[in-house]
Amino acid sequence: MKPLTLAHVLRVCALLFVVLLAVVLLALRLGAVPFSLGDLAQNLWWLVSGHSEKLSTDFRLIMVDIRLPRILLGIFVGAALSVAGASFQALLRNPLADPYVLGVSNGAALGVLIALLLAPALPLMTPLAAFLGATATISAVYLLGRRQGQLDSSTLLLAGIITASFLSAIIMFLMTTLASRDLRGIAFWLMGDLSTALPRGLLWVLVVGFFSATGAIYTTASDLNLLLAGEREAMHLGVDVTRVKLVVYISASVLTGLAVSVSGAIGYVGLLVPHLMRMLFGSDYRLLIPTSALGGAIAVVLADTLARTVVAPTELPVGAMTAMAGAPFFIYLLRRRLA
Amino acid sequence: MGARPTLFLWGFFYRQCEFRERDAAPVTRKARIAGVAARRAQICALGAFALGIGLLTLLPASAAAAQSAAASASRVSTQQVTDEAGRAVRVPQPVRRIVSLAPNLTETIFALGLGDALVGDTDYCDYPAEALKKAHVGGPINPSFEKIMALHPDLVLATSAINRLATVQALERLGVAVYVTDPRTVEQVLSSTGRLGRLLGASEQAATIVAALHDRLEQLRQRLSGSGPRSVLFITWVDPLVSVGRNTFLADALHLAGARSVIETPQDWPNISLEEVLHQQPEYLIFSSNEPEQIQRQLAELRGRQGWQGLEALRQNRIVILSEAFSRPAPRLLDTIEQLARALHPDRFASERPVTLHRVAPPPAASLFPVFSPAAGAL
Repeated sequence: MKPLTLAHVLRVCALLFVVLLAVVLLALRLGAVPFSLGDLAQNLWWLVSGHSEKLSTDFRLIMVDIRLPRILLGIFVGAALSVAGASFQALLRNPLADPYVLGVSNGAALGVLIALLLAPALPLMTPLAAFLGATATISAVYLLGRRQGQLDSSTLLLAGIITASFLSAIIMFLMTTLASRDLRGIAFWLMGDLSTALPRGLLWVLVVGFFSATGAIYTTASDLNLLLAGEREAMHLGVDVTRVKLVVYISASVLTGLAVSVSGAIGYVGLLVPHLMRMLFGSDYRLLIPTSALGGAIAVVLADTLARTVVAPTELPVGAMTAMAGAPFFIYLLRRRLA
Repeated sequence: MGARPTLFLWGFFYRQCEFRERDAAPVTRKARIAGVAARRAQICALGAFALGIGLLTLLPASAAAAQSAAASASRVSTQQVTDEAGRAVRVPQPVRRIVSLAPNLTETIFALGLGDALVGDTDYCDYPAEALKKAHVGGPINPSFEKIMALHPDLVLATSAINRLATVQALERLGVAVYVTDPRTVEQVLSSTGRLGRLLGASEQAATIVAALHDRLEQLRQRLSGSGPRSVLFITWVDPLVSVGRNTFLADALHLAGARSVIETPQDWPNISLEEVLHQQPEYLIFSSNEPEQIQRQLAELRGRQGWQGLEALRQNRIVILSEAFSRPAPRLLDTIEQLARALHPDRFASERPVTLHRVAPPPAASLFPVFSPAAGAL
């Protein structure tokens, strides 16, 4: 295998970036309210060139206020989830690790449920509670997964799965016993939902959080490559295993918490996208992290575009789309490799 | 290096990894340069990625300021009201373009004579027939915000019974006034109708409707006075068995029709056990559906099921199928309450002309009880 070069990383990222741009344009074009391609191009040009006063009212209301923010949200949620997935897979040395599997999504959902019960009217309460729920869950899973001071990857994964089912049992219990009417939304939210427009401030929190956490993970990319061989092996090769694990664990939790808090539990992205990227571009983490981020963005924007348009104007939960479209594609790639 | 794990995925995952960089023990000059290059590759790749995404994020921010300025300028006069969910709403006056997010609100708007001002409703808004011709914005739980905004509504109406809080908050952030209704009793359905009438500039029409409905309620009350309530089970859903809780307008509607629900839970849509129902043995089973044939099919199937066979009301076919209007807190609710009262207390209506009762596909066993179709007329 050829050693990884800068040119190669840039080439692959540029390729994926072009794909992402194409997908974003497609997503902008499609929706419940149709726009002609000419209109779209004209208005987009005005928007980019700073002539926003020339924009048509419809374009401003629908594109600028709804469709574009939603696409951006999809980009960051997808990127965050799949970088988190890739990191957990290296950290736990388990290809099945994924934020969804580790119970983080359920923890966030429980946080939202409690927030809705205590203070349904506060606007920023939902994402905040989801974030707290996600980080609390991942800390609990982390503590449960430790054995004799060591982080044991299979124990951790098991702890995650058990925590996930425990939390979903609590969610079911609360949903059936409590009288509040707002709980109905939870079911929708458990399947992942990008439709609810975010306050702009929160989008910036997401952006800054995403870049800091991904940057932190990226500094450990070479160490993650070695960590895959085993902790002891990595330690012998000079990796500060404890530090790397801590950095990656915290950063991946932050990414998951951010993603889940704004979009609900979108499954499969964190599991599928990193594997697809490995199949397509190889599994060197220095390349895998940027490709996973771009690939996750592409996957979620595409899935959300489908969710918006398949039965328009009614919207499907995006999580249903990611699972429906992702699983067969994954199996196809897997079979092709075997053949 | 350790033994290679056997799990296929894991193995493939593992095999892909290269340890070129650190495997070489002596750090040669060449290797050092390679290391530096790799580090630079990392930083550049990340930088390029960040730049690209950063450029994308700048797009919507530039237009934000212009948009909010435009929004505030276009409003001439507004009225500050508190809606039934306790939210403060600034409603532009007069309200010329309304989007309804629930079938009962659509019905109320038409009843108030404001059908022309309704520019959009949901996929489930099927009454009156004109509601079907309006632009649909999707389902009540997951409407399309794009569709709603494209209709340029002055006001969006939502109801806490089926719409989501998240939907209301999202619309609020998009700068649309959203008024939420939350009727928990039949009386509140009437007062809510009155409030909507005042808000939408149809006070007189609303007052007339509400007064007429009050009269009918009063007549019904007098007619039923002295007769004990029938014990009933309102069935929202059969599998799993779901009824209604005591804090819903449905429980109140049952009460006004001379019925008493055997289920009294604080939850609005409780899953209930068949054991409890068998223990209580309600005198009547009540359904609300626009497809009575489907309910009949379901009942035929239930008759053959263990457990359900022990339900006296089912065995004796004491079943009332009301139209879906019964589960919509709108003026038509009164029609169905009256129909139910007639069905449960026929003796109290004996003095009147016979009602047009429709027998819908009587089950094989002797059909003892008339079933109301949605077409059944009012009093």
